[in-house]
Amino acid sequence: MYEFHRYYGDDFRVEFPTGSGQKFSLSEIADQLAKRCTTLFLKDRNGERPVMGAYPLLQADPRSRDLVLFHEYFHGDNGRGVGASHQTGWSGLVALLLQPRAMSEAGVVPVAGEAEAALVTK
Amino acid sequence: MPPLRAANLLATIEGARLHSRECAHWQRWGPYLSERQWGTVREDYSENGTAWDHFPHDHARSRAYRWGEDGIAGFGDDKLNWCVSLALWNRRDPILKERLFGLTNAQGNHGEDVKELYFYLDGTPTHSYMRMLYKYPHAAYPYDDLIQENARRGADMPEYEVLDTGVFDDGCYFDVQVEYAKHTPDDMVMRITVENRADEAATLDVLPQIWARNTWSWKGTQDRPSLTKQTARGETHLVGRQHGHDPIVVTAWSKDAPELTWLFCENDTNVKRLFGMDGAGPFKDGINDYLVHGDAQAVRSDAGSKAAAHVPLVLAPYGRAVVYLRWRPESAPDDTPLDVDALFARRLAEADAFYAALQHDMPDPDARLVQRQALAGMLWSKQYYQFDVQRWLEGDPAQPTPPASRKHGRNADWRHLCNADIVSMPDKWEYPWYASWDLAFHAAAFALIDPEFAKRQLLLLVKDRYQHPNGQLPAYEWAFSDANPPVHAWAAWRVYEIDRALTGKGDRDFLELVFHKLLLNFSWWVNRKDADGHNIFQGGFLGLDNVGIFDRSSPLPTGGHIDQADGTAWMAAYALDLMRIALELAFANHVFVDIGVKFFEHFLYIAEAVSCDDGCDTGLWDSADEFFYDKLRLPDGSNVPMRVRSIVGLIPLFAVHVLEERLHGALPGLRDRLFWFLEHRPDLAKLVSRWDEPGKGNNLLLSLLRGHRMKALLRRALDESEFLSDHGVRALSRVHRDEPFVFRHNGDSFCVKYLPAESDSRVFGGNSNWRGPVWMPVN
Repeated sequence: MYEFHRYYGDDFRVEFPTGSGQKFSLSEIADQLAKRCTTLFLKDRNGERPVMGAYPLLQADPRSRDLVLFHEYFHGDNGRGVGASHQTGWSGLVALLLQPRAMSEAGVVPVAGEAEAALVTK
Repeated sequence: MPPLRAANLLATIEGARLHSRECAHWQRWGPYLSERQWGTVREDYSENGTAWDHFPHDHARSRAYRWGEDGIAGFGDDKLNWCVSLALWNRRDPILKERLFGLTNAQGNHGEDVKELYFYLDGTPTHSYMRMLYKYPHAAYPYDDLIQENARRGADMPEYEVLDTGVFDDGCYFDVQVEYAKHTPDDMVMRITVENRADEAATLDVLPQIWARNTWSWKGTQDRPSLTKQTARGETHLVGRQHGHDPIVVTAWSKDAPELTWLFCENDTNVKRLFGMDGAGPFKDGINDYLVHGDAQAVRSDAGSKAAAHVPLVLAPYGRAVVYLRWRPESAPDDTPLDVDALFARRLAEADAFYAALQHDMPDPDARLVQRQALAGMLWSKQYYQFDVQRWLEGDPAQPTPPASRKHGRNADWRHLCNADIVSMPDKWEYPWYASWDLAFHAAAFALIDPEFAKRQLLLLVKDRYQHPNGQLPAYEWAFSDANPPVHAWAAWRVYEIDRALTGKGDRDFLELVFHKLLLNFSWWVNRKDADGHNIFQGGFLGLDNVGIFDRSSPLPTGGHIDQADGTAWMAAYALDLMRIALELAFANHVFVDIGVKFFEHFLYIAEAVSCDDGCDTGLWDSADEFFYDKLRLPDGSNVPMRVRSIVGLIPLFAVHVLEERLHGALPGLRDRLFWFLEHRPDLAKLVSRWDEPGKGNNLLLSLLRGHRMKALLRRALDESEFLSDHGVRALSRVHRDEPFVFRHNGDSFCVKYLPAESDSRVFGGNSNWRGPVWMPVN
């Protein structure tokens, strides 16, 4: 999405979500999608983490509320963690999604290669 | 490049350690034990490859492993010559809790599943500090209840989890926190903090243990490691000796226990218990048998290849106790008393500073917590992975000869594979073996905190001890010859970028090394997975177990084959990633321009084949539904689109790259080559956006989708009644909840229905479901 945005720019706008009447650039939509993924793990308004939906006893315990599991996949409607419960490998990719994109462009997760960067400084 | 903000990360104490020449030394010890070595392909010597049955959990405490070790909160050196882990006993269980319990694939109603509560909470890339938490009930562990209730439940019901059994109710359990801190790279301490979470007193035996991986039973060598108890100046310690290694000194203590007793046994198979044979003992399960059954003959009190410090604790209501285990080289005596708790505080503070640098502009404390735990989980999931397929097929000189059928069975064509490395695992219980595409994603996340490790992981998989001589990458040990999506080039590029940002220097040697090997791999795909030679790819399961109508890795009930939208899109993306890498390398060496152009052209061939309109033979785009579908090609030459609206049809979105003018204009000769090709192949050039319009043709958009189709796909992807959920993009459109896709053939009918949680079928192993849930790697 970010790569498409690099070509199409801010003027190219798509309805998000479909049917909502609101239009956003591809980059803004990509940000929104990344945010939706992070809400699997983050506390919601009720202080609960959707991924931990099958662990009410832990969610209710103030001392266990911040124990987070990284499941293999997630319920398509409510986000409850499903499958392997410590698949910190690829579900750990949320670490990249949580990294602020502003910081990304400044350095940690750059979008341009060295060749391009070298040209910019020429 | 502007000065890097991320330089903060490397400016911290942990960052400097990581970026120094000492890093390899610091990483020599780490959380490298698996959580499950039993039930793996490596330990399977059965005739028919029934890995789960050949080495069940019930054998694990008594039977020596050939290829690895496992344990709770395990730690070891990078060849697992020495292993450290935690054993516990609540005096109610029929066995010591030495390893995590779970159900096998056949026992679980949704396949294999760990039935324990444990959490990876913190860690640093050099493993200077690590922390995890394990929850252990006062009551007897409900082993039988878990097995029986899950056996009773069908695939239509949720899994029966340990929390559902009630043993953790009312706080009747122990919170067992395990931490490691390194004083020096070879001198470290394990700190076990036990807390009784109930309002009643409880008894717990804590046993930090250390042992040598069994390297002697296979060749018949007499040269076995030993741990020997010695007492000097009234203090007891162990000396660990191992051929070719410096001796180590091991100590253990606790101020909260009245006594501490060292118990010893040998890391040898209990042939009496398992095979009814005579044997000297004491065996691997000796400490278990001594404590649980009171068998005094099962242990020794002076020496062995396995030792445990037995610490009996009586914990008051909400009471707390701490136990320590330290080991260090004998050759570097340090008589300065070590303030161990101060060491832990210092290493934790360094970890805090490291993550503060990484997260300096993440204001949300909860986001910081989640990210740190996600990374902690990745750090804890490193594992020593050893597998020599040739040796495994032939058997060992000092062991019975394995069944001959294995020489034509699983992995028989992978005799070159010889692994003995630290590898990032998807999940050290459920998937204690690497999977090539998982590993590529792990590398991208690891690059945030340890780019050198990320690069080493990607290079590992293309080494000749891993990559097949024909160019294929090993998929995973259940079938190295399966095909995972080819995302290695994507990951290599991503890691290269992040590393460059962190260190200020692009590692071209890394990029070039990976690139050469991926040229072989790309050729393997082109020659093996394009059945008709039409630039349309198959590939089989490609990581998406049950996403289609059929098991895509097996011969089809209809005959013929499936042209896959995802396989083809992954290959298009692969071509673009290799083009991008080649052009980056071309800035230092002009030779790479040529191969860069090759991948530009190859991308266009694939793009043309997959995106041509209805009526053309190869195209997978359906203009009525405005979606990409797999196409079933029947033996009679006809074909049928498989109208399943799944992630398979969205993957073409991933194959996109903007070739900017400042790039293609700056490499001498590149622009001429590109534009010559576009002029000579107008049929392909129409796929490249506006390349010939003055003022607009400067940046080239390379994509499988022109604007209209991209919008059409996004319309479905971003529709909450189809793919978009509150928490990401689903693997299957929700339209299939009310309108399942049904395919009929010769009186049989095959169906794909929206299932947002677990799979209801065992056909694909049963524990993964791509028919509705959200999956992180494709989001």
